[in-house]
Amino acid sequence: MRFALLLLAIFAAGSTAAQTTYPSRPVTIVVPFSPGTGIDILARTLGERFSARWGVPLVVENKPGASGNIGAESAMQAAADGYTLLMTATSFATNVALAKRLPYDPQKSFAPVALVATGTLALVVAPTSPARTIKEFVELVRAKPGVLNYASTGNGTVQHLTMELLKQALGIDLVHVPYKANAGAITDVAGGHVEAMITPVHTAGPLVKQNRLRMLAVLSAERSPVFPSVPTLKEEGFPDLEVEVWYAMLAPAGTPQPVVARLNSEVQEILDSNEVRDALAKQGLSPVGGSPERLAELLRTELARWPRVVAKAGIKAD
Amino acid sequence: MDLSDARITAVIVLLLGAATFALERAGYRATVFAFLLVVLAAVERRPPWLSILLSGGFALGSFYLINTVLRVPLPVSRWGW
Amino acid sequence: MEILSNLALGFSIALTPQVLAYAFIGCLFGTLVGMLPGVGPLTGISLLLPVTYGLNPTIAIVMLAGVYYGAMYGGSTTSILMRIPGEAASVMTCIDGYAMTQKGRAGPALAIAAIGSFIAGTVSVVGLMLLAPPIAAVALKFGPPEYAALLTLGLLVLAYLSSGSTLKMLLMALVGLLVGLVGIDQMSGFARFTWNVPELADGVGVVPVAVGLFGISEIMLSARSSGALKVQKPRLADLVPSREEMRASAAPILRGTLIGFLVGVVPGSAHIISSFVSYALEKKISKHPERFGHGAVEGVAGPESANNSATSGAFIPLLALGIPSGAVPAVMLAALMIHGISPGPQLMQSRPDIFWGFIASMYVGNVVLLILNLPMVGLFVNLLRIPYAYLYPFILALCLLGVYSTNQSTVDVWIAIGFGVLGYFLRKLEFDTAPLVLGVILAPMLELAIRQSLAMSGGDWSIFAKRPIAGTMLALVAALLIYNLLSRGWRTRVGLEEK
Repeated sequence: MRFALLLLAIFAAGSTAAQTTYPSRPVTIVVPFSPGTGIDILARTLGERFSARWGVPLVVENKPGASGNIGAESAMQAAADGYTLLMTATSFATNVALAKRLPYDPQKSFAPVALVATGTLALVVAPTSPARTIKEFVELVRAKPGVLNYASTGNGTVQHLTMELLKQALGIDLVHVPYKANAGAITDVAGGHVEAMITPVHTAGPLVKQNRLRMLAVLSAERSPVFPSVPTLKEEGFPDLEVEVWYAMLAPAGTPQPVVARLNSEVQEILDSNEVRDALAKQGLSPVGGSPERLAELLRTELARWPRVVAKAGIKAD
Repeated sequence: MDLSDARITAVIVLLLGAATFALERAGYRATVFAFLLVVLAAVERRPPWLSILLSGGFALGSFYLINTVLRVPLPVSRWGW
Repeated sequence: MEILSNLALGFSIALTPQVLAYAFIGCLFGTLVGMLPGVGPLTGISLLLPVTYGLNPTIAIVMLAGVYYGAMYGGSTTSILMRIPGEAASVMTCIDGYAMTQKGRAGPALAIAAIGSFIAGTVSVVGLMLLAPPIAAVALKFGPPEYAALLTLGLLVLAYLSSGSTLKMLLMALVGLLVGLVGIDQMSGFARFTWNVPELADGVGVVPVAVGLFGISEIMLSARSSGALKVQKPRLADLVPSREEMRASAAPILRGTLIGFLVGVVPGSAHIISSFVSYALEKKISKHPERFGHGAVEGVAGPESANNSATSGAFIPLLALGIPSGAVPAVMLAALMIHGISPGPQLMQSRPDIFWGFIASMYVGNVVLLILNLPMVGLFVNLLRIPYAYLYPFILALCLLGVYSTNQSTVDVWIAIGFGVLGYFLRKLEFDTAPLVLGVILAPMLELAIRQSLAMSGGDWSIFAKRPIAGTMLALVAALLIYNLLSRGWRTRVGLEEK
């Protein structure tokens, strides 16, 4: 009996969250994808720095599933006290376009904290492909509509939707071959089994350097510093399509303003450090930061753009 | 089919089910402690003090190892444990 | 020989105290992580990754590779001692490994698993060293049709897995295939059998199924027989494999190494089935196949070796080409890139110290793990002397913990419990549950591969025959099927002929 009381006392003591400065106990950041993915590594990188600066651990909680919806729902339901955060990526916006109903409202369920990083997407083709420039590629595909294939990391993923966007903008027709993960998809393009794919620059990087892939264009406003010889779509006279993969930090709606502001400034400082910039650059990511409003603006744009692509391409998901 | 162990199987399933249900609501430590305690003391009729000790030790110890040292999050109830 | 001097360079880097210390930490961490059912090397590596940022690249990679190997070793331990598969690849070890434990041969089982893994690990690293570039080039030729053919071959393996009635085996496989198809279809986006449960969108998950089917059901069946498994204080003979066991294990270890290596090289997640293939092979060529399932040491030696060499094989596409062949090599790739290393053919030229240091560290990792594990055998065997009534509640709690932690999901735990109940009944009815797990693993991969192939060919089925590698493998499958139909043994078993 006494032992039980003792245990109760210990538990109770642990739960008195002191009303002192934030943060006073461990913070959880929900990552709605499996460990080891790009977003997960980014979250852990941030987490290490946060922990060092605050003296309080920041723990990554992987809650994968349903393209990130499960993790998002879980974060939304958490207390809006700044002790639970959500790390999210472009799929946050694309999911809205695909799902008939979501367990959360992308605009209202979350408070933007900071846009963390962005990555550039590129169009790559197999080394066996006759197309050596983006112009040749477009001509090639226009000549053979519905014959050539492209790979993606799955139905409804950013890579899939971006390629559909590209198809609509350039007036070309490619057959979609979905894969389960990036590794398989890019390997098969390199092996010549599939003709092309949209992929982040850094994923394709090593293979392009070995001439196992050919990068035809980057989908950004400016050329990538890692591949300065690859033109942007705009330069080649095609519609200026800019699609980026972005990673952002959100908090449940209703998280107090001062907490959001504090988090935002911490993220900014972490992103300014050389070590983090370096690590991100090596993964092909550009640190961004900026105010929560900047993130809110991005979300608005993205949430408007993708439903149009999906509707036009006739993509279905549950 | 020899179903002589059906009773204890059903009990195990029930307890596991209850523990799963409670896991995210009552938190890892409380749930595992309660689960172990019930199995050791009620089902297997082991001495109560020993059961409490072992259950508490495992619940707290594993939580510490996994959640704190390894930083793999385990559920914590709304009341902080 | 150039390779020897390179290797010497690698060892000179790997054998420094600092590197060794980090290798040890990684291996220890990995073993702990591996022992937790469900939580696997992926989680372990991701956990340590940020810690490695400040370290120099060789040390970082050595530590992370240690986690990977350690997790494979740790998974075998729980499989043998408690019949709980640490991850999908350890499922086959549960069968004969646990049977050996029940006969009081837990020590030898653990020892053989450790030794087999060590031999497989080191030999396959040699293979990696010598054959990386040419094999990688061949691996690239594997597209969806080849993958589909390989998996079909894997399906055939099912036929050799079962010890009992073929009909029962087929039924299990069918159930497994159906379970494996649950989830959102990759190609069309339609949800199948998910009943609006979002956690099922990505499929049922082989870990909850395996843990429930093997681990939890075992406890349900044994809980009543409380009392220790084998009571006496272990003598040395109980810890060390007997001469017959050693002799019987030798060939399976070598065969397992070869199989694991070949299967592991193929990009993708096919390497999981290496242990299944090894088990089936050992059973098929054994002179006494009826021993399998009751503690045949070949059933431990083969799959364990296959497991470990598949691990090395999986690194080949990564090191040689910079292409990750699965989730774990993908994290390693990210780790390498964060440290500024771009794997690929130029790695060998531009940073030979990293490349050969890595290879050498894999040897070192294997040795460290052997040293770590063998003494623990005695410890574990002593643990088994605790009355089962005290043990099984904690094993159940461990299952709960492990399955939950994989995806932070209670749905997974419900699935495990459900399959535990299913396993309970299946074993009472003398169904062999391994084909079910294999079905769950294979179904989604096979279906995706077939449909990708058809998408590539525009709906033309002849793509499978037209491509040389795929065509050859399928011809092999057909040949094996026909051979089986014609062979008397099979026909009597199935009941087409009288004995």
